[in-house]
Amino acid sequence: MKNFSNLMKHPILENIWKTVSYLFLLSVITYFYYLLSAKIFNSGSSIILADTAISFLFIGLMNLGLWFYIFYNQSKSQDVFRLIIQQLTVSVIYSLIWFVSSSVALLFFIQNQDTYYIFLQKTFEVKFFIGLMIYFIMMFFYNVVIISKKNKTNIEQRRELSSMLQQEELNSLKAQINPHFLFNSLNSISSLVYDNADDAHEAIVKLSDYFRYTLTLSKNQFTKVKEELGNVERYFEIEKIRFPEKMKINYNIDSSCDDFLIPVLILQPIAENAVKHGVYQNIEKSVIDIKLRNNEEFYTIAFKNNYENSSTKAVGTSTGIENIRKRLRLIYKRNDLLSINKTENTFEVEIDFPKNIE
Amino acid sequence: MESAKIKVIIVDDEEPARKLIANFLKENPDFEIIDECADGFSAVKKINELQPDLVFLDIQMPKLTGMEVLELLDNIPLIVFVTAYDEFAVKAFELNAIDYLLKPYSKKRFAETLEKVKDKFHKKIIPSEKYDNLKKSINHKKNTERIAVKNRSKIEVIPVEQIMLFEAQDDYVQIYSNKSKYLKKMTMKYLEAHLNKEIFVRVHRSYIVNINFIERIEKAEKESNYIIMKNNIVAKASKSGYNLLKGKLDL
Repeated sequence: MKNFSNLMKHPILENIWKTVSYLFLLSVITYFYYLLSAKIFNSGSSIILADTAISFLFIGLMNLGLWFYIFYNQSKSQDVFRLIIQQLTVSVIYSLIWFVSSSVALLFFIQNQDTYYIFLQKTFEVKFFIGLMIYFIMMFFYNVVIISKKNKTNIEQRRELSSMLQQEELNSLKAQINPHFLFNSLNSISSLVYDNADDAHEAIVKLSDYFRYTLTLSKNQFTKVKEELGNVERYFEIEKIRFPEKMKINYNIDSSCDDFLIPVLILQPIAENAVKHGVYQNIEKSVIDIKLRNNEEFYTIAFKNNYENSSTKAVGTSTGIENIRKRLRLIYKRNDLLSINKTENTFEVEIDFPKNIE
Repeated sequence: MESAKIKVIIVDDEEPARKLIANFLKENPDFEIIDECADGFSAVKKINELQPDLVFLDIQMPKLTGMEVLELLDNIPLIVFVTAYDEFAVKAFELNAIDYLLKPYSKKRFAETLEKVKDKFHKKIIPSEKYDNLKKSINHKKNTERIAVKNRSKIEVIPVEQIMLFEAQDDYVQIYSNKSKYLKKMTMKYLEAHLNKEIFVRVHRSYIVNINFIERIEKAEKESNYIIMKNNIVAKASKSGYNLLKGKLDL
């Protein structure tokens, strides 16, 4: 909307210098017209003076109005022939309107009807061609203005879009590197170092693999479900280092689905959500069930976790899950792929991945 | 000359994190671990029961956060806060010169913290004033979502939407939920600043009401009004408080 009003601003009236320059150029043309008509029609200078004054008041105003005509009738047609015919027609009409309107107005300043008609006859050709000329000059000028303004807004929009994308990328990067997860994991690993150096070593490798997977893949890629589940499994194993006694993961995977493709990192937020509302909030043991089924139309993945109802935080309104919904909509153009089933103490997120992608 | 050992309770929901502290403490004969807790509820219970000299207190925990634990303690011992990532809390610790550890921490940093704590212990400094300041400054969240209270020996966490009324009683506030009532040491000023202003209105010096639980309003003497809440609990409204309430209720 802002860009639109920017374009709408009149290129001549938008500042005083442009208006002054316009008036100056107009008076130069006026002066030539005056000299020309004085030469053609050599009797009585009062009628010439009146005609010059009226004509240029009219054309001055018509030129200003022409902007709106050109602005609202920006031709989208690429047909050059049609464009030329159209422009010629408009220029003739423009020039005629000028001639007729200024002649009618001149009538009020004339006593002698005969002189008036002779004057019109003699000056018609000159005036008509000057009208055409002015039309083409103005048309050219206005079109240059429109094109340059459009370019400017295009550049601005592109800049805005790219900064938006960068922000988005930064946000997703920040979201991936959940600081609580990272620093708590490192802290637990540092504890393992004293207890069991081999376990600590393995834990560091797992954490590295996890972050490598998260960081190297770009958001619009697809990956095999077994890769994606592999990463989820890694994630759970790292959380298990932090909560060795507190979590149990059950996998129920139909291995015929191993190679089907799903959007990269789409399962990660669900896995995190299950841990966040289960393991992090529970005192008792948390169980997470992961199911992958090969249905007729879909591959269906479900994550189910238990939660203790006493925790007052609302479960299931996480931004992570909302983002998945958004991504699914963008990728598959469908709104019904993610569903949430909530009971007193279980929470389940289910995603249907369509087998046929358009 | 050294008197008894410093009694420690370690509170963290992650077992390896507790183990690490225990490992480091073992190397220092001045400290004795008397218990470990994995959640906020048991932490409050154990600390009130065993009265340790020092608590290592993790901030992010199930049920109650470390800060909520702090609010529910009868006598506050020396505390070393432990957190992985919490900018607001760390700022508040710095501001109030309160001991804390950022996970993961070095052995050196841990030893330095122990020295500071030992020093305070022997000088018998319990910085309770600092903890009070911390409690006030830590609630960076504009709208408090829940309030932790102690009901005899039981701890409850009440979502604020379930609270009908707050009534000032000296240093305490009487909290009326739709099920029961509780007493907690806090101030009306604090509540007014941290409760969601869309549903909570301070109608009187001593009353904050939840507008969703108002049954009716009755004229009292002079310029004051009675606000009758659900379960027939009555609050008083001053003239200005009544006007404030009228604005919220679009009367």
